[in-house]
Amino acid sequence: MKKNLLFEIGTEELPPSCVREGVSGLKRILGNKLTENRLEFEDIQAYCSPRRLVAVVERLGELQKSKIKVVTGPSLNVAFDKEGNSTRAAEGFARSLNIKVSDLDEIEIKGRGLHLGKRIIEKGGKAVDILPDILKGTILNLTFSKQMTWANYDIKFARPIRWILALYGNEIIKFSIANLNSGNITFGHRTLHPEPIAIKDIGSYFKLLEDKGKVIANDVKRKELILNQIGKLEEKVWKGNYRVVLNENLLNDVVNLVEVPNTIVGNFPAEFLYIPKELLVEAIQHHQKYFAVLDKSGDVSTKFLIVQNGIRDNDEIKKGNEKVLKARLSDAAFFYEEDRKHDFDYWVDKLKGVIFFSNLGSVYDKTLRLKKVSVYFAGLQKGSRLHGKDDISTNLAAASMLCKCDLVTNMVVEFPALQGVVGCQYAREKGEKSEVSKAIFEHYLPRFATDIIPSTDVGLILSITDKIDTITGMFLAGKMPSGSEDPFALRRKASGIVLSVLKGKYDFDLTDLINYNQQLYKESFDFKGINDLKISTGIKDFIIARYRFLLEKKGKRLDILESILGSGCCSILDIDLRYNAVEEFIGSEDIKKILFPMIRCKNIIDKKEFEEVDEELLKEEYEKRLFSSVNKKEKAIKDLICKKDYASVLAELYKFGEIVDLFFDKVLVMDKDKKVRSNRVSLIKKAVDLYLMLADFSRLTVEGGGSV
Amino acid sequence: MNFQDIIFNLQKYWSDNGCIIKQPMDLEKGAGTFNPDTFLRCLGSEPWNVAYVEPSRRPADGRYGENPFRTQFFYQFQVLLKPSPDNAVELYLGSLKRLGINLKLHDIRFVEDDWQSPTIGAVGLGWEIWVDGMEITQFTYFQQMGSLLLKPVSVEITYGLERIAMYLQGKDNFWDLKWSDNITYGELHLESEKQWSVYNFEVASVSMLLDLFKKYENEFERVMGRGLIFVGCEYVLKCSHIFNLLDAREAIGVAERTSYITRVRNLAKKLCSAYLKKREELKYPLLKKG
Repeated sequence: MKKNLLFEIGTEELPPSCVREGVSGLKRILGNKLTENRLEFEDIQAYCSPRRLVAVVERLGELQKSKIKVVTGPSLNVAFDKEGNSTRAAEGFARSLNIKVSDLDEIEIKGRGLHLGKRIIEKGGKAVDILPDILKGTILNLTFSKQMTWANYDIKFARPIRWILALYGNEIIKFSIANLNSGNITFGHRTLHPEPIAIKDIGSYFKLLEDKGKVIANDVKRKELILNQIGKLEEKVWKGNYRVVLNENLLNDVVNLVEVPNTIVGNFPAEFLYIPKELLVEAIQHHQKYFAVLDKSGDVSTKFLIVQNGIRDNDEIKKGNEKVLKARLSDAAFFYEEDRKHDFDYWVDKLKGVIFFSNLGSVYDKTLRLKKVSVYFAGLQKGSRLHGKDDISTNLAAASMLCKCDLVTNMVVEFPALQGVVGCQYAREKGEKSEVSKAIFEHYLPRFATDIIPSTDVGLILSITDKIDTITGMFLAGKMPSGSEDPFALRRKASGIVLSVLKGKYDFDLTDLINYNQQLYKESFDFKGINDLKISTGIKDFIIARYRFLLEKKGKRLDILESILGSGCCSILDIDLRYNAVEEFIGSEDIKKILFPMIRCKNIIDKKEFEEVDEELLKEEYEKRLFSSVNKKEKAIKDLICKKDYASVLAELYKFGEIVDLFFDKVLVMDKDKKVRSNRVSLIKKAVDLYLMLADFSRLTVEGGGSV
Repeated sequence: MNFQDIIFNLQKYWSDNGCIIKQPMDLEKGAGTFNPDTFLRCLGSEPWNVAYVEPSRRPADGRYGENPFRTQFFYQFQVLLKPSPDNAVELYLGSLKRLGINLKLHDIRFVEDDWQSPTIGAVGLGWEIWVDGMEITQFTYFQQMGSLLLKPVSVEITYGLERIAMYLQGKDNFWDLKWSDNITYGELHLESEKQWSVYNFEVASVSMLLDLFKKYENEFERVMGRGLIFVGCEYVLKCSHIFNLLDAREAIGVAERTSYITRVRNLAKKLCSAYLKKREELKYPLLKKG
């Protein structure tokens, strides 16, 4: 017989982030524990609300699956004498299992031959006997990023646990934890139905909770409800004239702030509409978790949405919330007005008092570095599409000085999510160039994995150099990420660098930029026992590792990347161009025609010393042909690499392969004459170098085993 | 409900629910948490249930009486329950009912608000509690005090009396609140709010405050050397208040600010350890009553 299991952990109000952590942890941990304990089930689902984490296991078996236990005794030589009679050893072993020698099996033990033994089928225990430990263990193993203890108990959870419901079929799974005994009792809405509700059968749980308890325990359903309520407002009530700003993070929080959502519309006084749009929207969302509403032209309207917890018909709730939002907006307006009394000089000066990181100076110091590094970066772009755009450096210098200023504005102190947004807005208001104000916003991008990338050169370069500066500083301070620990989100920053470099198509040697940045740090601060080279290599590898990670996420071949890194290339853009060329070549041509000749060459030159090739010593036709080909190709490939025409480089190397193969087929490298021999090896070395200008193809994995 | 009746009702309610009703401490402090009835009594294993009004001062929050509800002086109603009872939230909701709030008609919300006070090394997890969007209470399970882990854990319930009164009386600012039938909150407090704002932001002598901070810090060490813990506690509170005044005068730079906070926290840590040791020596006298 298979029955369903219902497990509900009732708590005091969990923060939304804990609800999410809890529900995913519950599903994973309970599922694992059931499997480990050989209890079969068809499906496991987890649900949540601020006051409950719920798991429903469908068709959970009543018995553990049986397990075969193998017991082994003496080896056959010991167990039987020459005549084949069982010895004392065999009989003793059989007795210990309470069976006859004739009932024993022959069991092979790896490497030690056949032994007497027995395969014993251990029948599984009953689910009802094991479930108490499994459920209790699940609670104890659930962890949250912020945990607490309460009263005198030893257990930790995100907020105090107040009841536990555990039903298997109609039977209560009894266990206790802290001061609580599990039962079949749940509780409804905190104020609308605080009384206990007994669950007699699992099938009625969700319905009883909803009808009687005024609670929707299914978070997906609550989200749908909110979206439906909003949809109805937009279409039926507002007839398409207003639109709700649906911030996904806010929506997910609101879903887990209420046990039953009920959306109502409030209004605030129009006097606040002069506050810039993005600032106003954040002021509406931030503290009170309201939704802002835009009118047809995309401007903020005086409407806002309140999602109350429970269905009540009471106008006072709307009035109360309106009063609170009015006060919040008065605050925001006050901060905005205060900020408008100041200028950027005032804020730049204030940055001197803001610590960037201990022992790495102030944010003002960072600003000065950023100015130098970004102008230096622009200088590295000579000959690119930025060439001749003289105002790039001017704009970068200006944006560098201004981009951190909003950190000390009242607005950002009050609404931290607005960093960048406020700076951009204020720069516009103060008449800064649009390139500069836009870069102030863009330099923080990307803020999370799926965020947008800057769209302007000034924004892209400032974003790259700001992140390089932070990473360099953190490496110098010994705060590089290790394992899963990355408290300063340096990996995300490095990924941002890669994405911005590729978007802006900036070709530069990473180590140049890192070294320059590192020098600037060392001019101002004392770092004892720091190895410059180790730091710069460490940072370069760290950033390239993020490029590798991005390839991996797209399911791309990493051996291609390894082969390109074998060329010593340190420009992300260049690495990427080479990658695409090689990848495309592999898609259409036979890479083995490049790979195998190169491997043949590499195998010869392994660990040998080289000299200049002496043309006089070249006797045979095919070595002369190889020599002249190497010389011609060297020049041609150099030119092509300058133009970054890697497809043509590959075509050249492809043709070159035939000459290499002919050489190996016709010429014996290991000549008796030592001079001739070593001259040939030096020639082959030149051939290898030709390949290495693009990539170390020998690192490619191909069918038929190309790797050396 | 008049302001003073809110206090009467809360006192009666918590007294009915097993709390002793104490009176405020005669010293400036930023919140009811700093009163030794919370600050020290939350430490150790002795049960402790107390409620009291606490006038609180936050010099930097002054607005010359121009902001409807941001002031440098206000009243808190503080409840501390140790160990935290299993029905702490229900008890709290009961107090709202006692104040005449119909829980079924209003939207009561528990919004995450993890609280910490770096100056006294206190950490707690809990919520701010909203009624129809208005924050009226902080509800906190203390986890650390004086940087020491707490066991058992206390729950601290801090009512913002003015905000509750605004809500109950339907007023938009502190000053119009009715303290009693014939006198308003503004008549009692507005003038002093203005004067203190001027003092906190413009007049307070920075050199005197810096000097006092050092002297109080030294005095703390001296009295603690004699095992005078309750006296030491007052010097920690004085240092904390002086730090707040210096902060309001913008007399401390960011880097220095951290070091001042650390200094006060170290005093608090020393104080809390000494208090715990003393209670142990006294063989936890309140345990017998629990």
